[in-house]
Amino acid sequence: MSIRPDEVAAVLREQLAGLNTASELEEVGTVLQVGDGVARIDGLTKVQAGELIEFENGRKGLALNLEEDSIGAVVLGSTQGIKEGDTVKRTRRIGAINVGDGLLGRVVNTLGEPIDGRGPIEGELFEMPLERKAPGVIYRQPVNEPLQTGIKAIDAMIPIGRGQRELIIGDRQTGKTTIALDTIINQRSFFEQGAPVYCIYVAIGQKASNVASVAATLEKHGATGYTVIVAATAADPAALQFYAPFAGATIGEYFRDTGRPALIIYDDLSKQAVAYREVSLLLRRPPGREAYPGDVFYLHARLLERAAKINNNDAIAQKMNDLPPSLQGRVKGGGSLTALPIIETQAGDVSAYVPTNVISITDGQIFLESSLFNAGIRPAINIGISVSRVGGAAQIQSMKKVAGTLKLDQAQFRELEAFSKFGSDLDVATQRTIDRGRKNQEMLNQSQYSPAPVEQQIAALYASINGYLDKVPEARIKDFEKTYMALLESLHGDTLNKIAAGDWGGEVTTVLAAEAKIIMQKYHQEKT
Amino acid sequence: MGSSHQMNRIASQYATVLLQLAVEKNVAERIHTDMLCFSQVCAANRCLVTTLKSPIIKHDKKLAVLQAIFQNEVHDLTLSFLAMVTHKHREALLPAMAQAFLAQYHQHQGIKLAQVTTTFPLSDQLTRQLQEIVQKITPCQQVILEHSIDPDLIGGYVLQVEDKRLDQSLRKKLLTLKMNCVTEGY
Repeated sequence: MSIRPDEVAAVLREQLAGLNTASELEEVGTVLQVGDGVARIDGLTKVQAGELIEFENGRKGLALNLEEDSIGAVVLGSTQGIKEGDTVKRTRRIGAINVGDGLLGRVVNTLGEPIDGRGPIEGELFEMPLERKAPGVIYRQPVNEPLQTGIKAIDAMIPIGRGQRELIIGDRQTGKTTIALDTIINQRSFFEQGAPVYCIYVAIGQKASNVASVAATLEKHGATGYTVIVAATAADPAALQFYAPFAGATIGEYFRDTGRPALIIYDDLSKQAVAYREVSLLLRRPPGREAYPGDVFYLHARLLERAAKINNNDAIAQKMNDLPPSLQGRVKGGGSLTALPIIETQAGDVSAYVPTNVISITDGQIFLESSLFNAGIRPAINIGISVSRVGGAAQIQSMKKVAGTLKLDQAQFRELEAFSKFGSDLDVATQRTIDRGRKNQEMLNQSQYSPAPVEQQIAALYASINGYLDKVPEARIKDFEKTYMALLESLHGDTLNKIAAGDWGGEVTTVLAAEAKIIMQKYHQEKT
Repeated sequence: MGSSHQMNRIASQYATVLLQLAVEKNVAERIHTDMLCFSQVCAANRCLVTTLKSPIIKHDKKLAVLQAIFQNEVHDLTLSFLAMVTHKHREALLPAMAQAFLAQYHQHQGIKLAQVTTTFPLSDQLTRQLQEIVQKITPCQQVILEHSIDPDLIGGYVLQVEDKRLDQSLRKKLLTLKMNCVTEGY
């Protein structure tokens, strides 16, 4: 279908008629110096910190340093086309992006502009600020709903609740991103049930090829319908890289404040800190430890503080502090924003500046180790030092009952196992603990992109923890699990549903035990 | 960056003192003329500025040069000021001090400097109208218009007072129209 000429003319006329040609008094300054993504500007004496400024060629910037005789600003985009002596004007707006449901399934940059080549963002869009104060105490409520990651080791031992901030930390190549992606993929069942957890994956300073492969993985597993990717690749200016998590948080807040659960992954905050350091040094802010500026803690604290579980009461939620005017009348209570920040350590050094900061800010951490990874443990979580400070309250009843002591048992097993390497003379009790620990470990192993629903996790762990695997050889445990699940699914669908609902009566355990016993016998006979 | 900022601060200190004393002795207007004259001389003679800046030439020599030039032209206070600055070894900052004095004098007298750009020479009536506009933007006693011509504006005018700008040019309007048609805005 072609566009009729009168249509074009009509559009033009409309635009012309609606154009406000009456000029307003502008506040202007002059570019003194520009380069490396930052500009120094003379004039603009009334500009506010964090205010959006506009260069002559239409490029936007953010005023970050207000000094006695000049202003330091970061340029949001390329500095090409901006030269010394150009005029810069105030916009009287702070940095903001347009967000809406149309972002789902899209890849956008820090400014909220699509970069996936699929045309403009459709649907209603709301302008929301990049930097916004986190909700105050009265607008929040304690974490009480679980966020199912689909990973047995995490859901059983380091449970995450909606609204929590759980750090994923580890060296390179230990499976940090995999945990994050598995969590996103696991939300698919909720999406299909019509109660989606909206996911936002923020890629900071990564290779563009990595971002493309993440997008492809999510698409392959049907996760695009409820996911937004915010990407600031290594080729983007440092300012865009350090603002990318803020853009992601803004999108997350849109879902959170409209009463929906959202999950945001910052992959990774160490690269963001590096980008922030770069900008800070170029703006001549004094360097501190590891040359990071003094406010690198505040940078992460204010970002992660925006993850919250909002009060269920609509009336209270509507009075939330710093609500952007565009959301007026759409605010609902009960929403949440769960944050999974990722930090990459260098050679397992968690006492570096940024890792310690983020560990202290978050509500717990999942610690991944390359030695465990190399020993074939997937995900390579070090149970002993991984914690979840608030997630326990959000675990469903049945999981709490089954896996209550699992974390302690596994930590104990790790210690005993280390000892057992020195001598072979072990008493029966110790041997049994080690054997049970190995079986549990094997049961907790899970390959990537295969998240399991919570009822299956509980059933599998029940069999393992209660000794139904004692007679099964280690190499056949995965086999056992598969048979067991198939049996339960085909014969006891209602029992699984009961478990998912949190019901953990004698009836349920009887069924699980009976079926486990039948399969166990089979392996026992094979052995003898 | 920092050092030029420091220089400006030093210059403005000296200028403040000069203005205070001039007001006290009721010769502010005369000193203003002197400083204007000094600025113009500096602008016209690059070698004078370089001489003042040179660390090789002795301070008493520089004072002798200044006195030779301005002896019969300026008020006694200005002469003593030149002597004092030379004595303090700050003669390199004299041009900056003159600029700072002019700015402070303008502020003291409620005078506003405004730059106006048009595509054609201004008539008296237009100048008066523009001065009225400036007084509306920033209330002041008197407005001094600095006029320049730029055919690129196509039509209309651009008025700038300090860091406020009123762009009523045709170029700006066309640009806004273009921006609105090309992008939906940020």
